Amino acid sequence: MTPDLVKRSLVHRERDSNGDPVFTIHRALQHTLLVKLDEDPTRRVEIFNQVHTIVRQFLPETSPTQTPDEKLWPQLEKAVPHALRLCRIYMSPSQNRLPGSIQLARLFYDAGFHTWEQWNPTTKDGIIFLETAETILRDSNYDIEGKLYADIHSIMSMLLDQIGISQRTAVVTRRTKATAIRKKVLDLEIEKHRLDPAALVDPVTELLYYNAVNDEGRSCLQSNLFEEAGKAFELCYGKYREWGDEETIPFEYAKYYHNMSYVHMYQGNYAEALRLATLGVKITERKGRSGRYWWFKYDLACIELQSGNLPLALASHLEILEAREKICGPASEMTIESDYTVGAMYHHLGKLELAE
Amino acid sequence: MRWLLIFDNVEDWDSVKLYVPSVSRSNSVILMTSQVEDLKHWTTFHHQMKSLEIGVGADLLLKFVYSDTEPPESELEPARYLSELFGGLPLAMAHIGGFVSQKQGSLSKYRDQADRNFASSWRGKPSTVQEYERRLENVFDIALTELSNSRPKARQLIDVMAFLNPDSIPEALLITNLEGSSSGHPHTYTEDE
Repeated sequence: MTPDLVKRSLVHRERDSNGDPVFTIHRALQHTLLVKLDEDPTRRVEIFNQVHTIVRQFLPETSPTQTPDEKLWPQLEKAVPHALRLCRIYMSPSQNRLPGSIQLARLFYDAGFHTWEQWNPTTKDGIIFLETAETILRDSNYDIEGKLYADIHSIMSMLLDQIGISQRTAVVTRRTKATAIRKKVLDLEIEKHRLDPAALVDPVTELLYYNAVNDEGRSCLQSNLFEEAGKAFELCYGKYREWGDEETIPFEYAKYYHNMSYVHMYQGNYAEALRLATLGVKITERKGRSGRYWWFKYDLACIELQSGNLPLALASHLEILEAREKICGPASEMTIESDYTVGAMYHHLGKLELAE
Repeated sequence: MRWLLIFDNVEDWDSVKLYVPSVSRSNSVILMTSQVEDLKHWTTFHHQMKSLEIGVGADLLLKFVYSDTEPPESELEPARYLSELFGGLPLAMAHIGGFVSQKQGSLSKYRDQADRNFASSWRGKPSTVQEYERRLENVFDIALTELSNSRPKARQLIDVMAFLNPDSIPEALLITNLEGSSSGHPHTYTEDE
């Protein structure tokens, strides 16, 4: 079939940078095809459902614990653009609305999660995915306290965090909702376990709840409510100590040390802040010098600056900038953040030409 | 510092407006290319790309159809006619050439078919973007109708492609194992049928 399309010059076949065969199709032809399908609603729905199935098989599902998985990123890079097009078509105005489903909402949530978990987040696309998923859930009368809503609130708040101060109120609202849902689910399982000891509490349920508490703590930090933030992080730390130690659950401990370092920084306890931040970096480094490692290193460098050690902070930020350029690319939000920070550091040191 | 910022193939203003700098713009340029004419309202200067001259368009069309041989004399005038009718639009020339070549037909027959189907709506060379778009749709109509009649599964495949990212559709994406296919067997889109 594809040779038929290629010979008619309806599509073009070539090889991508990896040497894999790919097809391209002109947008004008796509527009014509969609207009024709608009005139045949039954066929339009049939094709849409086929594409949904195809994209679902191509796009990996997210981790139930909302943990980034770098091994999936090459596949995601290929799959997410197709999910985005499907999402835009779903939301585009039409006389005949395309059918939504929980599965479709889940697809768009997965795609939205993937846009966040990569170290070069495409925030706007992620927001489109998650808002569309929410619209579908609303139209499907999905339980307002259902898990997928909590998942969406959680990741949407991460994406809105990328935008900045203007979204802080929205972030807090969503994180509050996510925590409430997670708590309700956890409380139900605890109650079931109380009534029937054989019915164990799902560790994933517990993890997601404490992740939500941790996220609320981070929102407190953004509003300089460092005491409240500290309470949230300590609550999580208490649970981590029940679950394991730095060897068995390094991700959670690194997160705690990283977050608490900021609490101590706000309190002016720079020595303790530096100790905890360094610990967080060291634990994260055990899994390699990934984007997360450099994120934690960046925050350590910020604490170095706040503690008054400008030369050390500059050296750290220069190292981070070089790494981010390689890992995330020169146009990544993270790299640009480091560009700005290095400039700011030079300014602090009075080296204005370098700052410029 | 002077800079040049290029947005290529912009589809709508919303997709770029967040990235258009509002400061530090003196001695710098933002260049935007688009197939959407309305975007010119967001710019201070716009330039409409010219399509090919009639003769150049005709030559291109003949190359698509007669890549290995010398075109017959009888095809030269239809080539010029079609080139003028579609304003020398390279995309139209490519599709018409591909269609005629695949059908092992002739530009003369294509012209007759196009005139029969669309004579009432076509008048001379297109002069607006909307006219170019309408005529291009007509070219697609001819090709898609023929495809539906002769290769329905290929038609279904291209309908599927309408919903995918146009710039890179991996062949692997189209090798699918859809449940419920009428044959009950895995359906591989890239098999010839």
